[in-house]
Formats: sequence, structure tokens, C-alpha cells
Amino acid sequence: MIALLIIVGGYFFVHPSMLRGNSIFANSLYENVVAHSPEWLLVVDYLIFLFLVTSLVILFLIVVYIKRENKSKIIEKQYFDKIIPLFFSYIYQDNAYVKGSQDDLIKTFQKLIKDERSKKLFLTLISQVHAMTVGEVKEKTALLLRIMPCRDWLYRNLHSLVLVRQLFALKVIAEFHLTEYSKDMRWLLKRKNYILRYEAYATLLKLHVNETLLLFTGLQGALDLWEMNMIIKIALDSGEQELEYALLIRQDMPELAAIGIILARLNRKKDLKSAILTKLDVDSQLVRDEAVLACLDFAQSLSDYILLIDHFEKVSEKVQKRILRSMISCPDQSFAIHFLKKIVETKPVPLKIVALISLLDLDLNVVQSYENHSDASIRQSFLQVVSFY
Amino acid sequence: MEVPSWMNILNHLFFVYAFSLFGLYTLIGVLSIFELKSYLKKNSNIDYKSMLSFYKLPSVSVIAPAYNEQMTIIENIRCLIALQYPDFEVIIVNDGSKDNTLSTVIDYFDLIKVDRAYELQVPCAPIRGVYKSTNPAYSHLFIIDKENGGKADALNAGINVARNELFLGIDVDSIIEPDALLRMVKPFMDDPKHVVIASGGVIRVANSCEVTDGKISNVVFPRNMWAKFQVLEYFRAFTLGRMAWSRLNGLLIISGAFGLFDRKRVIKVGGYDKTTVGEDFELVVRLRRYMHEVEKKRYRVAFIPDPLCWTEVPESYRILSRQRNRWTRGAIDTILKHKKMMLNPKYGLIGMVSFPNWVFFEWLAPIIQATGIIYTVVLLFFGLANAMVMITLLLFVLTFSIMYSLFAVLFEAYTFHKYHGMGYVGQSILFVFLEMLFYQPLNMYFALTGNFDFFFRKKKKGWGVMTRTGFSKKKKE
Repeated sequence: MIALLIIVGGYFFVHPSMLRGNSIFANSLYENVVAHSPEWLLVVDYLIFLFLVTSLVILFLIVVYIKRENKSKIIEKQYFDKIIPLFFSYIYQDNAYVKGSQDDLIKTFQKLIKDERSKKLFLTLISQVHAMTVGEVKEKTALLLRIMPCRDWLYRNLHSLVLVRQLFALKVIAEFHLTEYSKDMRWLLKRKNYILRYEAYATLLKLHVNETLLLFTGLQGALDLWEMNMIIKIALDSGEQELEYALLIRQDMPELAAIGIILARLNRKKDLKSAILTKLDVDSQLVRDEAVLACLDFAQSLSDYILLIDHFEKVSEKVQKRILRSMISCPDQSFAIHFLKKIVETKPVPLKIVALISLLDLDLNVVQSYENHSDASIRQSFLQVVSFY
Repeated sequence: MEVPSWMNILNHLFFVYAFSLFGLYTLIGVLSIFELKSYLKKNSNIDYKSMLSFYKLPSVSVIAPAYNEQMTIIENIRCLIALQYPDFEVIIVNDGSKDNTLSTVIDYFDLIKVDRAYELQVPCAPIRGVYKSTNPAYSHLFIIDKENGGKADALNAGINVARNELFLGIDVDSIIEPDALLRMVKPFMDDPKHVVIASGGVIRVANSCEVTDGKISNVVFPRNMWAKFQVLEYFRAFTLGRMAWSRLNGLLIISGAFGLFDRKRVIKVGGYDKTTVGEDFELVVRLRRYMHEVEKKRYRVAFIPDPLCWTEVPESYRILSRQRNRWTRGAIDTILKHKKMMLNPKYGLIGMVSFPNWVFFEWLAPIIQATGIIYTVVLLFFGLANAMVMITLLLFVLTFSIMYSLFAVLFEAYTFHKYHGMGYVGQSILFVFLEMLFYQPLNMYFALTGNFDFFFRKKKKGWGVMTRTGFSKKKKE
């Protein structure tokens, strides 16, 4: 229709007449308008025509997209209506029954999982269930993936030229911990596309935490906060305790050093305290903050607390609050009270409040002494602490 | 007949203006495609729920000013406190409501007055009290009761009382998607090259949508004519316009109904300006000025195209005219306050492109359009213009506008497809046509009255009343 419009439109604008057999049809638009228009106006006429054609193309695409969307929703619903009861009957069966009727199940599932769309929907469903569950159900979904003919499909998607397909395959591989694709991951790490490379790193990290963490040490450029969080989350979720903490902490890249410190702290690796102490005075606020937090968690003696207080001014407000809260565990109470009193009297309201909360745990009389203090902000902080906590 | 030279100059001026305007719209269309494509590429595979267990996330305070909202306040607060985020607080600022907004909230959430300490870091009217719930389930909900001072003043009070690193300024009657905070915070975390000072989101029209338990349960194309026009207008403004400006890092406005800001930087610039009705626009301009003049760091104002915030738009001529009048006054006020930035290379792209765009194509556009229409009529009346040429140019404008609006509808259908069915397609096409003939000239008129009110009636502050139907009435039984 659009091509026809272009042909017809082209005729109206370019040809003064049209020859059909022996008859000549005069183009009145050309005679009356185009032939007498200045050149610039003709350009405008062409543009109007272009806009009209583009509008029709857009209209056509709107209808196509809306119809496609509606259709895919219906298909999706029909598919899930069929597969979900089957899937749950599989999940609720006891293992002996599954073994006995495995062939039947495979056959039934295979009937429903034929084309690309159904495979994607099926994998989405079992990935979601796998991610949300633990124990037997999780094992059963993993088993289901193994017995279903999806491996070739995953491989094809991983090596597809379409990014969305590659990302989907990576997600499934990561979720089900399919280590046989490790080689493919390494191949993807060399790809130019940043998003693909990042996802490949994340997936590989899920498959081999320690080995991949070491790969990061060779990276150029900074990691962002999002990537840092992802790495920490994956490393923690893996449950792996023996990571290359020291190597990470030694890194010059602040984000990697911070990841090393965070993981060491969260996995309670107290033997790394001396390595962490070397990071207390580095330029990066991120690393300093994490080093102080780790020292805070590992603090035992008074000298540890003195060290922390020495670094109080060098860390962010969030970490300062953590130091103030931790003072209740300080072995020397009078030292802690003295420090907290200094904070109440000199620092801004948010810190005053945290210091007062810690003082509540240490010495109620000290807190009470601020009730009628000459400084209004201290009185206000006192009132908040008393009424809130 | 010889054309006088002044007319020649005027003709050329109109031509250059129109050429630039159409050029700009074309550029916006192209840039928005690139921006949306790269956003979807980067974010369509993200599992936002995984953020809930992240180790390092910025904390957020959601600040929502409320004035005479007793009909809908409970439903709205329930929606806010149910947001998915590991570290956030909700601060509702009762801006001296004359109805029972405060008592309704106190009763429903078992609130008690507490002595929350705060520093007056940005100016605001006196705070009468801070309330907190005795129910641990609502431990992250705070209500500030203060004397009336307007929306900007209420937001400032919230900023003073808030404790977190970022704050989300919203209209209390907006409906926010549960994962909105997670999505809005992401730009603050995933750009190591820039300091992100704010992120804005798309506002969608909630009129006629079905709301269940404080969430949009069924998106419906509005039944009201005025709301239908605004759906199309919002498609263009948010999906195309703001996406394109975001691509250039030239975004100068984040809607007051939904914007996430770096709290410390907002405090440094002095908070919201209480003397203007365009406080959302003014704040972003001031923040950008501050970054150029003081911090001098590479920074960015991010924009999220996902439909995360739904709001009720005016459903009558009277309320719409007031809203548009106010928007115009707010824009003029901000432009004049920051006129120093105009074509000033010190402010980079903002000074050389974004700010001039606001001056020429947002503020002056309706004035130039109206002048052009009058000029054309006069020329035709005195026989100084060729009717055929005029009709051709009019057709050019109409066909371009239709194409542009349809492009915005296509964008929505291709990306987020919130609206379904052929009925919606038919209606949106019909309203694209009607908009050209009816709604856009009206908008031009509203903007002209806004200019008149600002300069001749010295009306700079008045907000007018925005009567809302309230979502709870539409709640599915």
C-alpha cells in the first residue's frame, strides 16, 4: 500500500500526464500547482508527501506492534495454562514416582516445548522457580532442565548475533550453574559489547568465583558501584569461603581493594587484619571506609578503638555513625564516654543523636545531663533520643 | 508588487525560527531513539529485585507534601510505604491542611508526636511537630505537621527532617510502581565517569486507570477528552523530549511529581525556591549552575524512561488552563532568574543549547506562533501573501506534527506497551488529529495568558486549586 502511494505520489509530483494505451491522462495537480510553484515550495511539497508516507508507515507499525503484543500475551497465557499444571504435578511428585514416569514426563513436556518461543517460556518458568526455591524443588527444576532438550538451544542462543538471546542464555546458565559453558563464557569476555562482556563476567563469577575474581585484577578502568555490588553479592551467595582476599586487598584499583576488604569482613577473616590496616590511610574514601568498617568488626582491644578514633575524621558520615555505635563494645567505658561526649558537644545533629544513643547504653546519667544544656541542638537531640528510643 | 524590506526581514526571521524548530524536533526524534535503545540494551536484562540484597546502596527519603488530601491520603501512604527498597523512609509533609488530613493519618497509622531533632538547613515555615507510628510495621513512616507555605516550602521541611543520602520528591497523590526506587537509584550507581546529581522519571496519566491496593492494576486509555490529549502530550514530552535531552546530558527539568535528588547537594544550593511556582525546573537549573560554578566535576542528570509514576491530570478546561498558566509563569521566572546562563559558554551545553532551547522554543514559542498567525492573516487580508503558498506551509506544519505525535505513540507501542487493543489505537489516532486543530492552539492560548499574568498582572506565586477526583473512587470493587 505504501509502495503504491509512493508511486502514485511520484506521478502527481513529477509527471504532467500519464499514457495508458492510446489515451493520455493529464495530471491536473501538476498542471495547476507543481508547474507554477517556485522551487523551494516544491521542496516543501515533497516534504509534506514524505511526512504523509512516514505517518502511514508509523501507523502501520503501531497496529503491527499492538497486535503482536496482544497475540503474544494470548499465546503466553495459553502456554502457561497447559504447562503450569504439568510442571506442578512434576514438582509435587515423590522422587520414586518421577523416576518411574520420567519418560512419560519427558514426552509430555517435549510435546509442549517445540518452538523457540515455548522453549524460552519454559526456561523462564523453571529459572524463576529455581531462583525462588530451595531444597527438593530447586533440585527438581535443575533435573528437569537436564532431561529436557534445551542444551543445544542454549548453546545456539549463546552464540547468536542477537544480544537479547545471548543475555537470556547467560541468565539461564548462571541460574542453573551450568559449568560446561565456561569455555563459551571466556570467549564472550573478549567481545566488544560492554553489556555482553559484563554479563559474561557475572555469569562466570557465578560458575567459578575465585578464578573469576582473579580475572578482575587484570581489568583496566574502574568498576562502578553497581558492578561492585553484583560481585559482592555473587561471591557471598556462592558460599565460597576461601577466596583470594589478600590479593584483592593489595590491588591498586580502589573498587577491587574494597571488594576484598568487604568480603574478608563479611566472611570473618580476622587473619587479614594486618593487610586491611595498610589501607586505612589510602587516598580512596571508598577503601578507607571499608577498611575502618572491617577494623571495627575485628576490634577487640582498646588500641583498636583508639586507632578507629584516630581515623574518625577521615571517613564518611555513614561510617562515623557506625564507629559511634560500636563504642558501646569498647573495653574501656570511660574512654568511650569521653569520646562520645566530645561528639555530642562538637558535631552536627545526626552524629550527636547517634552518640547519645550509644551513651544511653553506657551511662544514663551522662545523657540526662544534656536535658537542660545551653546548646539548643543538643537539647533537641536529647529529646529525640529520649522520645524515640 | 514590491515587498517592503521590513517585511522581507520579518519573513526571513519567521523562516529561520520555523526551520530551527522543525530541525530541533527532528533531532529530538532521532536522539530519543538512540537513548532509548541504549537504555533498553543496558537495563532490559536487569533483575532489579537483586538490588534488595546489595551490600552498598544509597539510602533514600521519600518526601511527599500533602495539602487537603484527606480523601486519598491513606491509600497514597500505603502505596509509598510498600515501595521495594532496603533502606528508605517515607516523610509526608502536612502543609497546614485545612481539612482532616493530619487527624486521618494519625488515626489510621497510630501516630504519636515525637521530638525528632533536625537542623534548619534549607528555609521552611515553622514545623509544628513530627509524628511517628507506634506500629513497628510503619517504623519508616514519618509525618511532619507544619504551617502552610506551599509545595516548595513543604519539600524543604522534608529535606530538613530527612536523614538519607538521596530524596525522592513526589506528589502524594501520584501512584508509584513498587520497584520505582530501585530503578531510579540505579543511575546513581552505574556511572563511574559522572557524578549523578539527580534522576527523573516518566510521568504517566492515571485517569480512568484501575487502582487496587495503591497500585495500578489495569492501565486504561482515559475516558475524559482532556486527559486523552494529555496522554499524547506526555508521550511526546517524556518519551521523546526528555529522552533526547538526557542523551545530550542537557535535561533542565525533572518533574516535581517524581524526581530523585542528591540531598546534600540540594542543601548546598539552598533547597527548593519558595518564591517561584516552577520550583522543580528552578531546582535543576540551580543544581546545574552549582555544578558548573562550584564543584566543576563531570556530572549528569539521569532520566529513566520506564513508566514508574502515574498521576491524575486535569479533566476540565478550567483546571488545565490554570495548570498551564502556572507552568508558563514558573518557566519564565526560572529563565529570568538564571538569565546569566543564556548563551554562556561557561555552562557548556547547558548554556549554549539547553537554556536557549527553553528561551526560544518553550517560553517564546507561543508568542512567536501567535505573532506568526496574526501576521499571516494580515498579509492575506491585504493580498500580500499567496494563498497557495500559505496553504502548503500550513499543510507542512500539520503533517509534520501528526507524524511526530504518531511517532511518540509508536514509541510507546514498541517499548512499554502499557495500552492495549485496537480501540486505543483508533482513539489515539483520532486525538492526534484533533490535537492539532484544537488542543495545541488552546495550549498556546494558556501559555500566552501565563505570559500576560507574569508580566502585566505580576502574578508570580499563585498555584490555584487542582481538584482531583481521587483514585480510591475508581478502585475496583
